[in-house]
Amino acid sequence: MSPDHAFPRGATAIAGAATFGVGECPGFTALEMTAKAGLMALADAGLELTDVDALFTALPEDILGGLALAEHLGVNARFVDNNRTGGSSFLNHLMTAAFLIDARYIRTALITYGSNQRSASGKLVSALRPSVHEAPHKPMMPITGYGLSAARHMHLYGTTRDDLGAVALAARGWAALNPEAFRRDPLTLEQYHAARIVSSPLGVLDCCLVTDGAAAVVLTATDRARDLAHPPVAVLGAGTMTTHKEIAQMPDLTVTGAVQSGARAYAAAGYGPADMDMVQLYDAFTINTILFLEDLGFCPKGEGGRFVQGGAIAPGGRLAVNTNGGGLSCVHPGMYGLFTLVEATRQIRGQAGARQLAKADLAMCHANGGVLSSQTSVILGALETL
Amino acid sequence: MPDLIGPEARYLAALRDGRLTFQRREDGGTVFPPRLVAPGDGAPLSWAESAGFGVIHSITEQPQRPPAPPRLLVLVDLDEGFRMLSHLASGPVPSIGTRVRALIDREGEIPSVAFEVVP
Repeated sequence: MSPDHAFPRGATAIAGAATFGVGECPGFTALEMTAKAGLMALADAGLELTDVDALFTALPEDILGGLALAEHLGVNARFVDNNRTGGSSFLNHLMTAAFLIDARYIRTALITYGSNQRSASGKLVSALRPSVHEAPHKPMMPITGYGLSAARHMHLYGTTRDDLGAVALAARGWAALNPEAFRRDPLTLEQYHAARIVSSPLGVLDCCLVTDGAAAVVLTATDRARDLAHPPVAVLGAGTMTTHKEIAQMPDLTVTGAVQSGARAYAAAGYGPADMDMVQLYDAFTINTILFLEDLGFCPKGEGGRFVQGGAIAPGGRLAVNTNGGGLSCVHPGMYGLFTLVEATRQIRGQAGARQLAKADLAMCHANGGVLSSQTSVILGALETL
Repeated sequence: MPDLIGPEARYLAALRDGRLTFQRREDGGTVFPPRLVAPGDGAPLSWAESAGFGVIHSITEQPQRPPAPPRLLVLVDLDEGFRMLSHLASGPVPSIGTRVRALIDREGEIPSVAFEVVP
Protein backbone atom coordinates (compact mmCIF):
# COMPACT_ATOMS: atom_id res chain seq x y z
CA MET A 1 0.00 0.00 0.00
CA SER A 2 1.27 3.45 -0.89
CA PRO A 3 2.07 5.65 2.12
CA ASP A 4 -0.40 8.16 0.66
CA HIS A 5 -3.18 5.87 1.83
CA ALA A 6 -1.88 6.08 5.40
CA PHE A 7 -3.40 9.56 5.59
CA PRO A 8 -6.39 9.31 7.96
CA ARG A 9 -9.09 9.89 5.34
CA GLY A 10 -12.08 11.66 6.83
CA ALA A 11 -10.97 11.05 10.43
CA THR A 12 -10.68 14.77 11.09
CA ALA A 13 -12.77 17.76 10.15
CA ILE A 14 -12.75 21.51 10.21
CA ALA A 15 -15.22 22.44 12.93
CA GLY A 16 -14.58 26.17 13.02
CA ALA A 17 -13.30 28.77 10.58
CA ALA A 18 -12.88 32.52 10.65
CA THR A 19 -11.22 35.52 9.10
CA PHE A 20 -10.44 38.80 10.81
CA GLY A 21 -9.17 42.20 9.73
CA VAL A 22 -9.20 41.44 6.01
CA GLY A 23 -8.00 44.48 4.10
CA GLU A 24 -6.80 47.03 6.60
CA CYS A 25 -6.54 46.45 10.31
CA PRO A 26 -4.56 49.32 11.83
CA GLY A 27 -4.11 49.30 15.56
CA PHE A 28 -3.59 45.56 15.90
CA THR A 29 -0.31 43.68 16.01
CA ALA A 30 0.16 40.56 13.88
CA LEU A 31 0.07 38.45 17.04
CA GLU A 32 -3.19 40.03 18.18
CA MET A 33 -4.75 39.46 14.77
CA THR A 34 -3.59 35.84 14.84
CA ALA A 35 -5.09 35.34 18.29
CA LYS A 36 -8.34 37.11 17.37
CA ALA A 37 -8.92 34.95 14.28
CA GLY A 38 -8.24 31.91 16.46
CA LEU A 39 -10.77 32.96 19.07
CA MET A 40 -13.35 33.65 16.36
CA ALA A 41 -12.80 30.21 14.80
CA LEU A 42 -13.29 28.60 18.21
CA ALA A 43 -16.51 30.56 18.75
CA ASP A 44 -17.64 29.52 15.27
CA ALA A 45 -17.12 25.89 16.25
CA GLY A 46 -18.85 26.33 19.60
CA LEU A 47 -15.64 25.49 21.44
CA GLU A 48 -13.74 27.25 24.22
CA LEU A 49 -10.12 28.25 24.49
CA THR A 50 -9.79 25.60 27.19
CA ASP A 51 -10.61 22.95 24.57
CA VAL A 52 -7.46 23.73 22.57
CA ASP A 53 -4.55 21.37 23.17
CA ALA A 54 -2.44 22.05 20.08
CA LEU A 55 -1.40 25.28 18.38
CA PHE A 56 -0.13 25.75 14.85
CA THR A 57 1.11 29.04 13.44
CA ALA A 58 3.86 30.72 11.42
CA LEU A 59 3.93 34.41 12.24
CA PRO A 60 5.37 36.73 9.61
CA GLU A 61 8.15 38.42 11.52
CA ASP A 62 8.61 36.28 14.63
CA ILE A 63 10.32 32.98 13.86
CA LEU A 64 9.38 31.79 17.36
CA GLY A 65 5.80 33.02 16.93
CA GLY A 66 4.36 29.71 18.09
CA LEU A 67 5.74 30.42 21.54
CA ALA A 68 4.37 33.97 21.48
CA LEU A 69 0.92 32.66 20.53
CA ALA A 70 0.98 30.02 23.30
CA GLU A 71 1.86 32.73 25.80
CA HIS A 72 -0.71 35.20 24.46
CA LEU A 73 -3.59 32.74 24.51
CA GLY A 74 -2.33 31.03 27.68
CA VAL A 75 -3.05 27.67 26.12
CA ASN A 76 -1.54 24.69 27.87
CA ALA A 77 -0.78 23.01 24.55
CA ARG A 78 0.49 19.44 24.32
CA PHE A 79 1.92 20.32 20.93
CA VAL A 80 3.04 23.59 19.31
CA ASP A 81 4.02 23.57 15.66
CA ASN A 82 5.83 26.55 14.17
CA ASN A 83 6.80 24.78 10.94
CA ARG A 84 7.52 27.31 8.19
CA THR A 85 7.40 26.34 4.54
CA GLY A 86 6.18 29.74 3.36
CA GLY A 87 2.56 30.17 2.32
CA SER A 88 1.99 26.41 2.35
CA SER A 89 2.83 26.23 6.09
CA PHE A 90 -0.77 26.11 7.25
CA LEU A 91 -1.78 23.22 5.01
CA ASN A 92 1.24 21.35 6.33
CA HIS A 93 0.06 22.22 9.84
CA LEU A 94 -3.31 20.70 8.98
CA MET A 95 -1.62 17.49 7.79
CA THR A 96 0.33 17.17 11.04
CA ALA A 97 -2.73 17.95 13.13
CA ALA A 98 -4.81 15.35 11.28
CA PHE A 99 -2.30 12.61 12.10
CA LEU A 100 -2.01 13.70 15.74
CA ILE A 101 -5.79 13.83 16.21
CA ASP A 102 -6.26 10.47 14.53
CA ALA A 103 -3.61 9.05 16.87
CA ARG A 104 -5.55 10.52 19.80
CA TYR A 105 -2.51 12.44 20.99
CA ILE A 106 -4.38 15.75 20.65
CA ARG A 107 -8.12 16.54 20.44
CA THR A 108 -8.45 20.12 19.23
CA ALA A 109 -5.95 21.87 16.98
CA LEU A 110 -6.07 25.61 16.40
CA ILE A 111 -4.34 26.65 13.16
CA THR A 112 -4.13 30.42 12.91
CA TYR A 113 -2.23 33.20 11.15
CA GLY A 114 -2.43 36.96 10.88
CA SER A 115 -0.40 39.84 9.57
CA ASN A 116 -0.74 43.60 9.65
CA GLN A 117 1.83 44.12 6.91
CA ARG A 118 -0.23 46.60 4.91
CA SER A 119 -0.74 48.89 7.91
CA ALA A 120 2.68 48.25 9.44
CA SER A 121 5.01 48.40 6.45
CA GLY A 122 2.94 48.80 3.29
CA LYS A 123 5.15 46.23 1.59
CA LEU A 124 5.19 42.48 1.29
CA VAL A 125 7.06 41.00 4.24
CA SER A 126 8.91 38.03 2.79
CA ALA A 127 10.65 35.34 4.80
CA LEU A 128 12.96 34.53 1.88
CA ARG A 129 16.67 34.99 2.61
CA PRO A 130 18.95 34.80 -0.44
CA SER A 131 22.01 32.54 -0.69
CA VAL A 132 25.48 33.78 -1.73
CA HIS A 133 24.54 32.69 -5.24
CA GLU A 134 21.48 34.96 -5.45
CA ALA A 135 22.29 37.87 -3.16
CA PRO A 136 24.90 39.69 -5.31
CA HIS A 137 22.38 39.97 -8.16
CA LYS A 138 19.84 41.70 -5.91
CA PRO A 139 16.87 39.89 -7.41
CA MET A 140 13.51 41.15 -6.15
CA MET A 141 12.17 37.99 -4.62
CA PRO A 142 9.75 36.39 -4.83
CA ILE A 143 8.55 38.10 -8.05
CA THR A 144 11.77 37.45 -9.99
CA GLY A 145 11.28 33.73 -9.57
CA TYR A 146 7.69 33.84 -10.78
CA GLY A 147 8.61 36.15 -13.67
CA LEU A 148 11.27 33.66 -14.82
CA SER A 149 8.77 30.80 -14.60
CA ALA A 150 6.11 32.76 -16.49
CA ALA A 151 8.57 33.78 -19.24
CA ARG A 152 9.57 30.14 -19.69
CA HIS A 153 5.93 28.99 -19.77
CA MET A 154 5.22 31.54 -22.51
CA HIS A 155 8.30 30.43 -24.45
CA LEU A 156 7.44 26.71 -24.30
CA TYR A 157 3.66 26.75 -24.54
CA GLY A 158 2.64 30.02 -26.19
CA THR A 159 0.97 31.30 -23.04
CA THR A 160 0.17 35.02 -23.43
CA ARG A 161 -0.35 38.11 -21.32
CA ASP A 162 -4.03 37.82 -22.24
CA ASP A 163 -4.04 34.43 -20.50
CA LEU A 164 -2.45 35.88 -17.37
CA GLY A 165 -4.95 38.72 -17.57
CA ALA A 166 -7.83 36.24 -17.70
CA VAL A 167 -6.69 34.95 -14.29
CA ALA A 168 -6.62 38.47 -12.85
CA LEU A 169 -10.06 39.28 -14.27
CA ALA A 170 -11.58 36.05 -12.95
CA ALA A 171 -10.25 36.76 -9.45
CA ARG A 172 -11.72 40.26 -9.58
CA GLY A 173 -15.03 38.87 -10.80
CA TRP A 174 -15.27 36.61 -7.75
CA ALA A 175 -14.13 39.42 -5.42
CA ALA A 176 -16.98 41.58 -6.68
CA LEU A 177 -19.33 38.99 -5.14
CA ASN A 178 -17.49 38.92 -1.81
CA PRO A 179 -18.14 41.82 0.58
CA GLU A 180 -14.98 40.93 2.49
CA ALA A 181 -12.69 41.27 -0.55
CA PHE A 182 -10.25 44.19 -0.62
CA ARG A 183 -10.40 44.96 -4.37
CA ARG A 184 -13.91 44.77 -5.78
CA ASP A 185 -13.95 47.45 -8.47
CA PRO A 186 -14.43 46.12 -12.00
CA LEU A 187 -11.25 45.23 -13.92
CA THR A 188 -10.97 45.20 -17.70
CA LEU A 189 -8.35 43.55 -19.89
CA GLU A 190 -7.39 47.05 -21.08
CA GLN A 191 -6.65 48.14 -17.53
CA TYR A 192 -4.73 44.93 -17.01
CA HIS A 193 -2.50 45.60 -20.02
CA ALA A 194 -1.99 49.24 -19.00
CA ALA A 195 -0.67 48.31 -15.57
CA ARG A 196 3.04 48.86 -14.87
CA ILE A 197 5.35 45.90 -15.51
CA VAL A 198 7.28 44.87 -12.40
CA SER A 199 9.17 41.79 -13.59
CA SER A 200 8.25 40.83 -17.13
CA PRO A 201 5.91 39.33 -18.09
CA LEU A 202 4.34 40.11 -14.70
CA GLY A 203 2.85 43.53 -13.98
CA VAL A 204 1.24 45.06 -10.93
CA LEU A 205 -2.09 43.35 -11.65
CA ASP A 206 -0.38 39.94 -11.90
CA CYS A 207 0.72 40.30 -8.28
CA CYS A 208 -1.22 39.40 -5.17
CA LEU A 209 -2.34 42.24 -2.94
CA VAL A 210 -0.51 43.43 0.13
CA THR A 211 -3.20 43.58 2.81
CA ASP A 212 -3.71 42.97 6.46
CA GLY A 213 -5.69 39.91 7.40
CA ALA A 214 -5.98 36.89 9.61
CA ALA A 215 -7.52 33.45 9.22
CA ALA A 216 -7.98 30.42 11.43
CA VAL A 217 -9.46 26.94 11.42
CA VAL A 218 -10.22 24.52 14.24
CA LEU A 219 -9.54 20.87 13.47
CA THR A 220 -10.91 18.02 15.55
CA ALA A 221 -12.09 14.42 15.14
CA THR A 222 -14.97 14.19 12.65
CA ASP A 223 -17.08 12.18 15.10
CA ARG A 224 -16.69 14.92 17.69
CA ALA A 225 -17.30 17.67 15.14
CA ARG A 226 -20.71 16.17 14.34
CA ASP A 227 -21.92 17.43 17.74
CA LEU A 228 -20.56 20.95 17.31
CA ALA A 229 -22.05 24.13 15.86
CA HIS A 230 -21.76 23.41 12.12
CA PRO A 231 -21.74 20.32 9.92
CA PRO A 232 -18.15 19.04 9.82
CA VAL A 233 -16.01 19.74 6.76
CA ALA A 234 -14.01 16.55 6.47
CA VAL A 235 -10.33 16.37 5.60
CA LEU A 236 -10.36 13.65 2.96
CA GLY A 237 -6.78 13.74 1.80
CA ALA A 238 -3.56 15.71 1.84
CA GLY A 239 -0.09 15.60 0.37
CA THR A 240 2.98 17.77 0.14
CA MET A 241 6.12 18.10 -1.96
CA THR A 242 9.26 20.24 -1.78
CA THR A 243 11.35 20.51 -4.94
CA HIS A 244 13.85 23.31 -4.21
CA LYS A 245 14.35 26.55 -2.34
CA GLU A 246 15.84 28.97 -4.88
CA ILE A 247 14.44 29.33 -8.39
CA ALA A 248 17.71 28.29 -10.11
CA GLN A 249 17.33 24.87 -8.52
CA MET A 250 13.73 24.25 -9.59
CA PRO A 251 13.90 21.01 -11.60
CA ASP A 252 11.61 22.41 -14.34
CA LEU A 253 10.48 26.05 -14.28
CA THR A 254 7.06 25.12 -15.65
CA VAL A 255 6.29 22.02 -13.56
CA THR A 256 5.70 22.37 -9.83
CA GLY A 257 5.63 19.91 -6.95
CA ALA A 258 1.85 20.23 -7.10
CA VAL A 259 2.06 17.24 -9.46
CA GLN A 260 3.14 15.09 -6.51
CA SER A 261 1.27 16.87 -3.71
CA GLY A 262 -1.94 16.71 -5.72
CA ALA A 263 -1.49 13.05 -6.64
CA ARG A 264 -0.90 12.20 -2.97
CA ALA A 265 -4.00 14.09 -1.87
CA TYR A 266 -6.17 12.50 -4.59
CA ALA A 267 -4.87 9.03 -3.69
CA ALA A 268 -5.65 9.57 -0.01
CA ALA A 269 -9.12 11.00 -0.73
CA GLY A 270 -10.14 8.52 -3.41
CA TYR A 271 -11.29 11.38 -5.62
CA GLY A 272 -9.79 12.96 -8.73
CA PRO A 273 -9.79 16.39 -10.31
CA ALA A 274 -13.02 15.74 -12.22
CA ASP A 275 -14.82 15.27 -8.88
CA MET A 276 -13.88 18.68 -7.50
CA ASP A 277 -16.60 21.33 -7.25
CA MET A 278 -14.05 24.07 -6.64
CA VAL A 279 -10.35 24.83 -6.46
CA GLN A 280 -9.06 27.22 -3.83
CA LEU A 281 -5.41 27.83 -4.67
CA TYR A 282 -2.65 30.19 -3.66
CA ASP A 283 -2.49 32.73 -6.48
CA ALA A 284 0.52 34.76 -5.39
CA PHE A 285 0.92 35.68 -9.08
CA THR A 286 -1.33 34.99 -12.06
CA ILE A 287 1.08 32.36 -13.41
CA ASN A 288 0.52 30.30 -10.23
CA THR A 289 -3.12 29.69 -11.10
CA ILE A 290 -2.15 28.45 -14.56
CA LEU A 291 0.66 26.22 -13.25
CA PHE A 292 -1.43 24.69 -10.46
CA LEU A 293 -4.48 24.01 -12.66
CA GLU A 294 -2.13 22.08 -14.95
CA ASP A 295 -0.21 20.28 -12.22
CA LEU A 296 -3.32 19.39 -10.20
CA GLY A 297 -4.80 17.68 -13.26
CA PHE A 298 -7.49 20.14 -14.38
CA CYS A 299 -5.88 20.52 -17.82
CA PRO A 300 -2.81 19.15 -19.61
CA LYS A 301 0.64 20.70 -19.12
CA GLY A 302 0.97 23.80 -21.23
CA GLU A 303 -2.78 24.24 -21.70
CA GLY A 304 -3.38 26.32 -18.56
CA GLY A 305 -3.34 29.62 -20.42
CA ARG A 306 -5.96 28.49 -22.89
CA PHE A 307 -7.92 26.76 -20.12
CA VAL A 308 -8.53 30.01 -18.22
CA GLN A 309 -9.64 31.98 -21.29
CA GLY A 310 -13.22 33.13 -21.88
CA GLY A 311 -14.20 33.40 -18.23
CA ALA A 312 -13.69 29.67 -17.64
CA ILE A 313 -12.61 30.14 -14.01
CA ALA A 314 -14.65 33.31 -13.36
CA PRO A 315 -18.15 33.28 -11.80
CA GLY A 316 -20.39 31.18 -14.03
CA GLY A 317 -17.43 29.46 -15.68
CA ARG A 318 -16.77 25.75 -16.01
CA LEU A 319 -14.49 25.50 -12.95
CA ALA A 320 -14.85 27.63 -9.83
CA VAL A 321 -11.38 28.85 -8.82
CA ASN A 322 -10.73 31.11 -5.82
CA THR A 323 -14.32 31.99 -5.12
CA ASN A 324 -13.36 34.64 -2.53
CA GLY A 325 -11.25 36.59 -5.05
CA GLY A 326 -7.99 34.93 -4.00
CA GLY A 327 -4.73 36.58 -3.11
CA LEU A 328 -5.05 38.68 -6.26
CA SER A 329 -8.24 40.50 -5.27
CA CYS A 330 -9.46 39.43 -1.81
CA VAL A 331 -6.67 39.25 0.74
CA HIS A 332 -2.93 38.64 0.89
CA PRO A 333 -1.33 39.28 4.27
CA GLY A 334 2.10 37.93 3.24
CA MET A 335 0.99 34.31 3.32
CA TYR A 336 -2.37 33.27 1.91
CA GLY A 337 -2.50 29.48 2.32
CA LEU A 338 -4.85 29.34 5.29
CA PHE A 339 -7.49 31.39 3.47
CA THR A 340 -7.93 28.53 0.97
CA LEU A 341 -9.19 26.32 3.81
CA VAL A 342 -11.54 28.99 5.19
CA GLU A 343 -13.12 29.74 1.81
CA ALA A 344 -13.61 26.04 1.00
CA THR A 345 -15.21 25.56 4.42
CA ARG A 346 -17.61 28.45 3.84
CA GLN A 347 -18.56 27.08 0.41
CA ILE A 348 -19.06 23.52 1.65
CA ARG A 349 -21.21 24.80 4.53
CA GLY A 350 -23.27 26.94 2.15
CA GLN A 351 -22.26 30.20 3.84
CA ALA A 352 -20.74 31.97 0.84
CA GLY A 353 -23.57 34.42 0.12
CA ALA A 354 -23.67 35.88 -3.38
CA ARG A 355 -20.72 33.77 -4.49
CA GLN A 356 -22.16 30.48 -3.17
CA LEU A 357 -21.72 27.60 -5.62
CA ALA A 358 -24.80 25.52 -6.43
CA LYS A 359 -22.83 22.34 -5.80
CA ALA A 360 -20.08 22.69 -3.23
CA ASP A 361 -19.29 19.29 -1.75
CA LEU A 362 -15.65 18.73 -2.71
CA ALA A 363 -12.81 21.22 -2.69
CA MET A 364 -9.18 21.06 -3.74
CA CYS A 365 -7.23 23.48 -1.55
CA HIS A 366 -3.69 24.11 -2.66
CA ALA A 367 -0.95 26.30 -1.25
CA ASN A 368 2.50 27.28 -2.35
CA GLY A 369 5.58 28.35 -0.40
CA GLY A 370 8.79 30.10 -1.42
CA VAL A 371 9.33 30.48 -5.19
CA LEU A 372 7.15 27.54 -6.29
CA SER A 373 9.27 25.58 -3.79
CA SER A 374 6.84 23.94 -1.38
CA GLN A 375 3.47 22.63 -2.55
CA THR A 376 0.73 21.25 -0.33
CA SER A 377 -2.69 20.00 -1.39
CA VAL A 378 -5.66 19.29 0.87
CA ILE A 379 -9.01 17.87 -0.22
CA LEU A 380 -11.99 18.89 1.89
CA GLY A 381 -15.47 17.48 1.61
CA ALA A 382 -18.98 17.58 2.98
CA LEU A 383 -20.00 14.64 5.21
CA GLU A 384 -21.76 12.98 2.25
CA THR A 385 -18.39 12.62 0.50
CA LEU A 386 -16.91 10.45 3.28
CA MET B 1 43.08 15.03 6.20
CA PRO B 2 39.64 16.67 5.96
CA ASP B 3 39.08 19.89 4.04
CA LEU B 4 39.49 22.81 6.36
CA ILE B 5 36.70 24.75 4.68
CA GLY B 6 33.26 23.81 3.42
CA PRO B 7 32.27 23.66 -0.24
CA GLU B 8 30.67 27.12 -0.28
CA ALA B 9 33.83 28.81 1.05
CA ARG B 10 35.94 26.82 -1.40
CA TYR B 11 33.70 27.88 -4.31
CA LEU B 12 33.83 31.53 -3.26
CA ALA B 13 37.63 31.42 -2.83
CA ALA B 14 38.00 30.07 -6.39
CA LEU B 15 35.65 32.75 -7.68
CA ARG B 16 37.69 35.38 -5.88
CA ASP B 17 40.66 34.00 -7.88
CA GLY B 18 38.70 34.38 -11.12
CA ARG B 19 37.66 30.74 -11.58
CA LEU B 20 34.01 29.58 -11.85
CA THR B 21 33.91 26.10 -10.35
CA PHE B 22 31.25 23.43 -10.02
CA GLN B 23 31.20 19.77 -9.00
CA ARG B 24 30.97 16.52 -10.91
CA ARG B 25 29.74 13.08 -9.93
CA GLU B 26 31.78 10.07 -11.05
CA ASP B 27 29.01 9.24 -13.53
CA GLY B 28 29.49 12.67 -15.14
CA GLY B 29 26.46 14.44 -13.67
CA THR B 30 27.00 18.02 -12.54
CA VAL B 31 26.16 19.55 -9.18
CA PHE B 32 25.68 23.24 -8.40
CA PRO B 33 25.62 25.02 -5.98
CA PRO B 34 28.48 23.14 -4.30
CA ARG B 35 27.59 20.41 -1.82
CA LEU B 36 29.37 18.07 0.59
CA VAL B 37 28.11 15.03 -1.34
CA ALA B 38 25.83 14.57 -4.33
CA PRO B 39 22.23 15.49 -3.50
CA GLY B 40 19.89 12.53 -3.49
CA ASP B 41 22.31 9.65 -3.10
CA GLY B 42 25.36 11.00 -1.30
CA ALA B 43 27.76 10.03 -4.11
CA PRO B 44 31.27 11.52 -3.95
CA LEU B 45 31.97 14.74 -5.84
CA SER B 46 35.05 16.22 -7.49
CA TRP B 47 35.65 19.83 -8.48
CA ALA B 48 35.86 21.12 -12.05
CA GLU B 49 36.17 24.52 -13.70
CA SER B 50 33.59 25.94 -16.06
CA ALA B 51 34.54 27.62 -19.33
CA GLY B 52 31.81 30.13 -18.51
CA PHE B 53 29.67 29.77 -21.65
CA GLY B 54 25.98 28.99 -21.69
CA VAL B 55 22.51 29.92 -22.92
CA ILE B 56 19.69 31.93 -21.40
CA HIS B 57 17.11 29.51 -19.97
CA SER B 58 14.75 32.29 -18.90
CA ILE B 59 14.85 36.06 -18.53
CA THR B 60 12.83 38.74 -16.77
CA GLU B 61 13.10 42.50 -17.28
CA GLN B 62 12.54 44.80 -14.32
CA PRO B 63 12.00 48.48 -15.19
CA GLN B 64 13.57 50.91 -12.72
CA ARG B 65 12.74 54.48 -11.87
CA PRO B 66 14.36 56.64 -14.61
CA PRO B 67 17.10 57.40 -15.38
CA ALA B 68 18.19 53.96 -14.12
CA PRO B 69 18.04 51.37 -16.94
CA PRO B 70 15.89 48.25 -16.56
CA ARG B 71 17.46 45.32 -14.73
CA LEU B 72 17.70 41.96 -16.53
CA LEU B 73 17.63 38.89 -14.29
CA VAL B 74 18.41 35.58 -15.99
CA LEU B 75 18.72 31.89 -15.45
CA VAL B 76 21.70 30.62 -17.44
CA ASP B 77 22.31 27.00 -18.40
CA LEU B 78 26.10 26.56 -18.47
CA ASP B 79 27.50 24.28 -21.17
CA GLU B 80 28.81 21.93 -18.48
CA GLY B 81 25.25 21.22 -17.34
CA PHE B 82 24.39 23.42 -14.37
CA ARG B 83 22.13 26.44 -13.93
CA MET B 84 22.78 29.79 -12.25
CA LEU B 85 20.66 32.79 -11.37
CA SER B 86 22.44 35.91 -12.56
CA HIS B 87 21.99 39.25 -14.31
CA LEU B 88 22.95 40.74 -17.64
CA ALA B 89 24.37 44.17 -18.22
CA SER B 90 21.54 46.47 -19.29
CA GLY B 91 20.75 46.67 -22.97
CA PRO B 92 18.34 45.13 -25.46
CA VAL B 93 16.47 42.17 -23.98
CA PRO B 94 17.87 38.98 -25.53
CA SER B 95 15.53 36.06 -26.08
CA ILE B 96 15.57 32.69 -24.36
CA GLY B 97 18.25 30.51 -25.96
CA THR B 98 20.71 33.38 -26.58
CA ARG B 99 24.38 32.46 -25.99
CA VAL B 100 26.06 34.24 -23.10
CA ARG B 101 29.41 34.18 -21.33
CA ALA B 102 30.38 34.70 -17.72
CA LEU B 103 31.92 37.86 -16.32
CA ILE B 104 33.37 37.21 -12.89
CA ASP B 105 33.09 40.11 -10.47
CA ARG B 106 35.91 39.54 -7.95
CA GLU B 107 35.53 42.87 -6.22
CA GLY B 108 32.12 42.67 -4.56
CA GLU B 109 31.59 41.82 -0.92
CA ILE B 110 30.57 38.41 -2.24
CA PRO B 111 32.30 37.52 -5.54
CA SER B 112 29.72 36.79 -8.22
CA VAL B 113 29.13 35.90 -11.86
CA ALA B 114 27.28 38.17 -14.26
CA PHE B 115 26.79 37.33 -17.95
CA GLU B 116 26.98 39.14 -21.28
CA VAL B 117 25.62 38.21 -24.68
CA VAL B 118 28.29 36.55 -26.85
CA PRO B 119 28.76 38.97 -29.77
